[in-house]
Amino acid sequence: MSNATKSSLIKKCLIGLLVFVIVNFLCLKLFNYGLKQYYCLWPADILVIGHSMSEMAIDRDLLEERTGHSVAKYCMNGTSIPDRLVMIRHYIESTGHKPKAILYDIGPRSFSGGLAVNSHALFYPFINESPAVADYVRSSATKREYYLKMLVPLSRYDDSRIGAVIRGYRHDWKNRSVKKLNLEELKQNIEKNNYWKTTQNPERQKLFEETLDFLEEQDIHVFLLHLPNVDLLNNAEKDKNMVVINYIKSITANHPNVTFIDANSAFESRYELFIDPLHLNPKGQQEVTTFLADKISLPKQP
Amino acid sequence: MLFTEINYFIFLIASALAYSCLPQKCKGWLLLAASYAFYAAFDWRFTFLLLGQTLLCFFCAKYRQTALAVILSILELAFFKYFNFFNDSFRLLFESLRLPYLIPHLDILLPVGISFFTFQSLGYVIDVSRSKIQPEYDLARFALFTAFFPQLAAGPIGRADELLPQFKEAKRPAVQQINDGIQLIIWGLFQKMVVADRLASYINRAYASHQTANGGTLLLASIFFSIQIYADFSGYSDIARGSAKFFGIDLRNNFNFPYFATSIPDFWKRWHISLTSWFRDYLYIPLGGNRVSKPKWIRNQLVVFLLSGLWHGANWTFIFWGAIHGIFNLAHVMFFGKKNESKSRIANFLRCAVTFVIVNTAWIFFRAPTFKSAIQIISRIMTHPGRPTFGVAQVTFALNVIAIIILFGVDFAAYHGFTGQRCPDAIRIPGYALLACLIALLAVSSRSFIYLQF
Repeated sequence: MSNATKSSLIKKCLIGLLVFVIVNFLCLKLFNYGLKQYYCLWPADILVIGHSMSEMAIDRDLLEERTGHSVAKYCMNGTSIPDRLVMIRHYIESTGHKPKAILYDIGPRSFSGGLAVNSHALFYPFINESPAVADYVRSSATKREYYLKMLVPLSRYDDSRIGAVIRGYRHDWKNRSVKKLNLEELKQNIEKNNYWKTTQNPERQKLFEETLDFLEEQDIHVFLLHLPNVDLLNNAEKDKNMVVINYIKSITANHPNVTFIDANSAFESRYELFIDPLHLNPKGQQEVTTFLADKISLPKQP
Repeated sequence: MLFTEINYFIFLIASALAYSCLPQKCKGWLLLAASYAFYAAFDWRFTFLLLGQTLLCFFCAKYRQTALAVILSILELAFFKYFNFFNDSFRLLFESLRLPYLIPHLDILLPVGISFFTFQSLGYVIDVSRSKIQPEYDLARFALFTAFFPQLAAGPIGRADELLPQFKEAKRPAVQQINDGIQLIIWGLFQKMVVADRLASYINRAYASHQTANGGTLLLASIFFSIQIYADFSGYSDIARGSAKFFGIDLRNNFNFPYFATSIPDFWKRWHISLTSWFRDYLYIPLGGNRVSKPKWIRNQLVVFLLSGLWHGANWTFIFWGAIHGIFNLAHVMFFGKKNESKSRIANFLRCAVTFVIVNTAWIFFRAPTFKSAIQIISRIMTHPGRPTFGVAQVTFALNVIAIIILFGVDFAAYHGFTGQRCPDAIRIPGYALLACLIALLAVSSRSFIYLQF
């Protein structure tokens, strides 16, 4: 291989690499802006933190309109108790702002497994945004995965995140699901013992309590929302669920900054509002948000 | 160690660097060691099988024992790949006749690439017996020919007269080869990880729920499978060819825009070319090819297609897939002769569409787990029309469609000659950089290649 041909190959590779790096950088900027819009990473009075249940149950615009407070909705599918503490820290670090109140969805299965095992992957796009996210990802991801995400920014996105970017640019937080609850299928699944079980993981409970302690220190009011699940599912493990709910209520009693809101009892038998045993349809979202807005009264400013 | 894993690329780059630095007489040894290490990464026990096949064909060619090589190789292949298929079929037959059957089902692991390296080494023995080539007297070089890692697991099935001289020369790769190699690997990864693996999720869901899914969804899933299997195998072949170029080795092209084929015979000139040409040279022509009476010619055609189906796997669905192609191939030659293309673009487009419909229908048998489920899928497509579902999410569906458009857009440009010198560096280099960005953004990995199971 002559020097001229070698240098021509190296030149081509470098140009290709440069284009790759530039496109990665530009897309990262473009995508991160859209994602921040979707997850409402801006200063707001009320911050909604949760997973897909709150994402589908709470209409940000309606809540804002009904409460008269600005609302940020930072909900990601598959986030469990450890992820939510990271989300709260991330919100505070990236906006430099403490919300007056946090709506935190909680339920009988909040301390169970079954959500995304690799939920740290949800935070990849924000890996450079906040120390809390960076620490969480570094401790959860494999080294190879971590450095790949650092080196190739576009690899931090998956289809859900790309969808969120598009919706962020369109300021579209609406629940648009058209599915309908299949009661027969649910009954069969319950009979077959094939459903998301209620269990209590002490580590998660401890982390939940730490989250509430942290929010108390930060002087942030917390509304713990028990969002509705279909009663057939609730009744499949009624006693176990009651134990967890009683635990949540006892924790609430120990924290002056925490209020428990039970949205489950009012809606659990309204099958027409669900798309599946856990998630609400657009009509359900409107009704539950209206219900919540009436229950939320923010503490007066000193 | 799959072609889509980072480990593979570390292995490839390390091997290529070492290959460039070593003196010429050591290059072959390095490649041989790398190839056996690559194969051992799948399952070290099967390296003995690979070695055995190598020794068998090397000595049988040397001492002109072609029949022995053919029989033992076929027996080896039959044991690992087809024993349970025939055994289970015989058991069913005996049970239906209420006769006792004593041979149990055996848990046999299928060695990766067995069909590929067996066919490649057998081709060499037959070529020697026909005096098409001289026997290779360097065992290490022949072992490298059988085990060369870029093509070991899933081809392309190489020919001795093309590869052995290249291994003998053991030259350093030319700049153009490295250039082409990088481009082939990027394009192969795009086909595999962005198109094939993304479509897999939709297809798997639809085929798994074929008893309840509507016809629209199943039809779309079948079309997606046609695209998936092409992108998967063509992607694999491109990565294999690209990897080989890092060692100065040119492997034969395995695909030549198969879905632009205007007839079934044309499709088979473009699909899995290395296997098709193997069957043509080592089975069809020895059977008499087309220089025989019409009934014999029909027999020859059907034998080739049925065996081609069986080569893909031990299942009646594969045999039926081969039969469909065989029948349509025969029908085309009988009614239209060797005419493939027309001067009219519209006529060619229609021929292309009809060919795709036949190929797509045949793929349903290839993909379905059983013959019965394939029939159910076709019947639901016909009788349960409905709007196809989007799968897991609309955005995923939209991204999949974009990936397919890019795949066929690039294929269309290449088919019309917008490649090589006609595509200037100013377009090609940023184009490949953008493809790499798309891989980073959209790639998923199924951690498998469809053709590795064959």
